[in-house]
Amino acid sequence: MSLILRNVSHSYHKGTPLETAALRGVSLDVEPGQWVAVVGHTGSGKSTLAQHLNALLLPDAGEITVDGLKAAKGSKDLREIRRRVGLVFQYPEQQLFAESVDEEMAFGPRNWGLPPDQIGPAVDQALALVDLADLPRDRSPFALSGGQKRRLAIASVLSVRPSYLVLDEPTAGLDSRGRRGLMTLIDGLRREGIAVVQVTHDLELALAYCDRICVLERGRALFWGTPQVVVEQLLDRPVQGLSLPEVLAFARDLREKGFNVPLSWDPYEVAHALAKEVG
Amino acid sequence: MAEGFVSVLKGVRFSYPRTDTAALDGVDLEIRAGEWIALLGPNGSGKSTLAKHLNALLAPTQGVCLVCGRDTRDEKALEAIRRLVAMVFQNPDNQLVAAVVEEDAAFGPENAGLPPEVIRSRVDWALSVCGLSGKERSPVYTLSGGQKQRLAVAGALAMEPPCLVLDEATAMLDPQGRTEIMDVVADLNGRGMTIVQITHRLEEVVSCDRVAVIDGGVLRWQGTPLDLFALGPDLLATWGLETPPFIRLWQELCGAGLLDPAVPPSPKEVLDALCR
Amino acid sequence: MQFMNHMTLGQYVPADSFVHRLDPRCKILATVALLAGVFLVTDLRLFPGWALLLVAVSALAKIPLSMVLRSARPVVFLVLITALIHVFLTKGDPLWRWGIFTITAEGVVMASRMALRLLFLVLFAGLLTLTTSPMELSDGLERLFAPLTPLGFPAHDLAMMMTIALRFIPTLLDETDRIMKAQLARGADLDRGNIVRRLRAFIPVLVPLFVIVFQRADDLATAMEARGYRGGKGRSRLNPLHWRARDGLALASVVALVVAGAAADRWLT
Repeated sequence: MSLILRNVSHSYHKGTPLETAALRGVSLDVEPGQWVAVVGHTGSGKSTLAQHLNALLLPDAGEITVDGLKAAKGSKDLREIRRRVGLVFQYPEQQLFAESVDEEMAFGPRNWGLPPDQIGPAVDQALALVDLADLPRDRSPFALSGGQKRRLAIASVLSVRPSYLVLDEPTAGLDSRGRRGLMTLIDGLRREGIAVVQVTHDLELALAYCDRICVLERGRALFWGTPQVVVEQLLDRPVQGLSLPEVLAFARDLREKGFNVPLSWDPYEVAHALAKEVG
Repeated sequence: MAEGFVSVLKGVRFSYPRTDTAALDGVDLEIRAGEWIALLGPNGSGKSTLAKHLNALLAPTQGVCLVCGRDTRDEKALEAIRRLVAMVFQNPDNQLVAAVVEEDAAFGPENAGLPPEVIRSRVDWALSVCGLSGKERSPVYTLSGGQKQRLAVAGALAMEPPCLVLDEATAMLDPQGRTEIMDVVADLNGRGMTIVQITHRLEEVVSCDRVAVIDGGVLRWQGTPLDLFALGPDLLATWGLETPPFIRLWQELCGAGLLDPAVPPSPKEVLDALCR
Repeated sequence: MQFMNHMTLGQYVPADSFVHRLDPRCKILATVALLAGVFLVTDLRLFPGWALLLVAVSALAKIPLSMVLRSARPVVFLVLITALIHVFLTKGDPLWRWGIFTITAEGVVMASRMALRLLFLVLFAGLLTLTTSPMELSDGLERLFAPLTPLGFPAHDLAMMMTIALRFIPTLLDETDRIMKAQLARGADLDRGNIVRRLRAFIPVLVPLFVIVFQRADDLATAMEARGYRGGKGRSRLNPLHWRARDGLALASVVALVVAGAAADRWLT
């Protein structure tokens, strides 16, 4: 049971002079309970990749399977794939439309034909996952605070019990408190066995929280692996529009000057090694 | 260009219509000519409300806000105040009016009724400062996020204001776009322009002269960035501010006595200091 | 990436050409003359003249003909319907009969005339928007309607509204696209069923779109105020309009062509 991409390519405006390749042979696997980051600069293809994960876009070449279901043109499994892979767009609070929290939450389950007696429990569970269990259900989604709206929008995708959740820049516009809250929330989802794919331009955030990182540059998956592995590769070959975490770049510069510090992006680790070295 | 510019807020209270809580609850602040001041605070702290007072988009419910001696509640002073203080907002797409780059940059001077040749020279200057020379006739929708926001800055600059207020102007940009804007801002401040920068990102205040922390509509702290960072991550967290990793490293090194706290938290300067 | 494409809207294409440099008032009036001409001329034998003119002006404007033709894409369906209605409903000498359907010679002529007229109408209007920036266009309209301002006609406000509408079309198309995809990802079914069902299915797209539009309008109003906008009074222009000799000549040529076309049409019929 996993989400597998093999050599996926995709071009926009195919067959016109405007044709642009957005993805070029991307491979990647997501296992249940994993937290994967797709990191890249604006225009690296990361949003295109996100839309492939739940079959909103289909590959021109290559193969995508979700728990064995194939995402290809004409496949009758496309709807089921979209249910299994929840996709949360950037600024998801902008997709809210219903008159009440309950209506908003029931939109997805109804679209996917969940039996009416199951919709209630599914909604309860999804709201609990995003820490909104106590929200009055008759309240208008538009009357909520910014942070609550975003969590409600995420819950509305979780309400059809997806096995995978793809989030495109979920922390955009949040301050540090909101960001940390959201990361804790995603961590909780992972504990529930939901695999999370987070698309972001924030390498620092990906290093701090994710299990696996895929680094995209101009539609190519340059690096793929654990944070440590990806960091080593990044030190060897810089990626367009993606700067190294300051602490890591600093640690590298320290080593060049002869200090014995680890190649780490954790400030405390570097500080302690330095204290030992100097003190 | 900044000569004599000063903005003074005394006991400013402000509540939005139909709300009970005050968005600003007694703020005293002075902004001086040529300085680069950051107003720092989490979302909902009141920092954007404060920013909108600086060019009279909002007027205090109580207290007074003076821009170069002009009261922002005085309708007749509005035009003058808006020429003194220009603003750049968060979402570039929501503040660009015209569909072509130079026509948007010209919007402010056009409103002021300046002669075409003056507008032309100001627009050319503002676009070149913002690195948009050569894009004069480009449609706005072909620009990247960072370019759009630089155009918004250019539109503000074309008014030749002594003071520029950036209201979370980098919040919606990617890291590259953020750097682009910060470089332009540093350049402008170097030319003597007063900069008021509203942000929740500590890493953006490193090069400021002064920082004011706002939380819950109240000014909690004022001082230099170095003094702010020296307060430590825990106190900053109570104001909803997260200390960026490199500054935490700097704090650790200062705390352990390995680094003189007078060395600013920039990787280059810390490295030089450690090598000595 | 887009359900809707920016290029189909007949949007401004910047270029350095004679047509681009013309005063927008000249281009607007010339377009009006051409639109009148397209209606005055009925004889099909004169229609190649319009095509020739279209090709010539496109070349003069340095805009690829394909791009000009594409600006008519949104009305192709309407043109076809118009043609079909006229083919089947015009009475006259039957050419061909099948059941209740009859095609007459007059019908074919009428259908071609109506369809081509509609097409040229859109194409000439398209040339205007392709070669004139929205700001110039609204400046031109504002100046043309300025004499009516003392009578209470809000020339400036309408022009500003038009500018803003044109500025935000691409942004709103992107936004619509994103919201449609977001709701599709939530299982919405946007393109099945009859028209009523489809309209209902569009509520989850329309409501967020309205919210965004109002938010934008609010932000934009604040930004415009901050930039010293107080309506049309006392406003100057970066590129003030200058009516030059070439504008007069260009307009005169177009009007002469139209008059000649109308005269030739009378003479032929």
